[in-house]
Amino acid sequence: MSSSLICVGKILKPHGIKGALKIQSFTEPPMALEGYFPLCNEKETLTFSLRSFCPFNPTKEKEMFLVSLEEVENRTQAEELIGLLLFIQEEKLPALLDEDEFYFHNLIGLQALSKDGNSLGSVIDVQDFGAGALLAVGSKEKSEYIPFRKDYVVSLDLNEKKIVLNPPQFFETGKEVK
Amino acid sequence: MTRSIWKGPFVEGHLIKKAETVRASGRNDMIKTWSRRSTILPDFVGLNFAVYNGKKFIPVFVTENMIGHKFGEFAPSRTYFGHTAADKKARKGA
Repeated sequence: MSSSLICVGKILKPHGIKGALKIQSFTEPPMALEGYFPLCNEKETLTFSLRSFCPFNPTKEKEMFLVSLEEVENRTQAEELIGLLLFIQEEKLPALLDEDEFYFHNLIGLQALSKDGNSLGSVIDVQDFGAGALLAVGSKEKSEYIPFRKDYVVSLDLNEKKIVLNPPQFFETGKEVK
Repeated sequence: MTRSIWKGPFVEGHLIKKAETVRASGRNDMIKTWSRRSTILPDFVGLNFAVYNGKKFIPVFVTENMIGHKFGEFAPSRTYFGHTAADKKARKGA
């Protein structure tokens, strides 16, 4: 997969006999997927232009949309696309507002170092449970969450793929406040 | 049935003590807690908590918007295996 491609959706199944498709959106909000068309496949050999776009079931399945594509005329063609992931070029994503803002996918894979220069592993995931972004640092087997806040992130260099962290005290020592 | 107003919000006593200790010390230590059922009080705003989710501690920095919610709401105990939003942004908080 090219590094400049970002996965924004997945074709789930055909709908009806005129080539309509049920698509799952991986954007936030899900409706933003409409603005990213035309989409392409992983190898950029296929391009899909939008003919019509509407929510599949707005109350129960907010991420699902019923889509008609210019390139898909009938159900047979639609069935060949089941399970296909849909991509866009990274440049099509909205511009970041300032230097303190980052896309999650830019942070994943960064090499994590402590202030002393010791390796903490790498950033394997970024999560937001409602209390701000958290970097999952370590390895796939064992990781710890470190808040993506100025107190804990000393420096970040996307070009060198390095992030210097100041992990919370108890992550290193196991001590807690009495 | 909702909780009676005369009882006030539920908070574990030891959590209030820990919060007072950290605030008095002036340091920005993270407060480890297993008490997911405790309500977030206005006194906790600006403090760092680490809430146990049954497996590991999830850092929670308390802001004004969280007042009245429970700590457990910010430390999910089940793993989401779905796809992360492609255009989701993270802002480096102050």
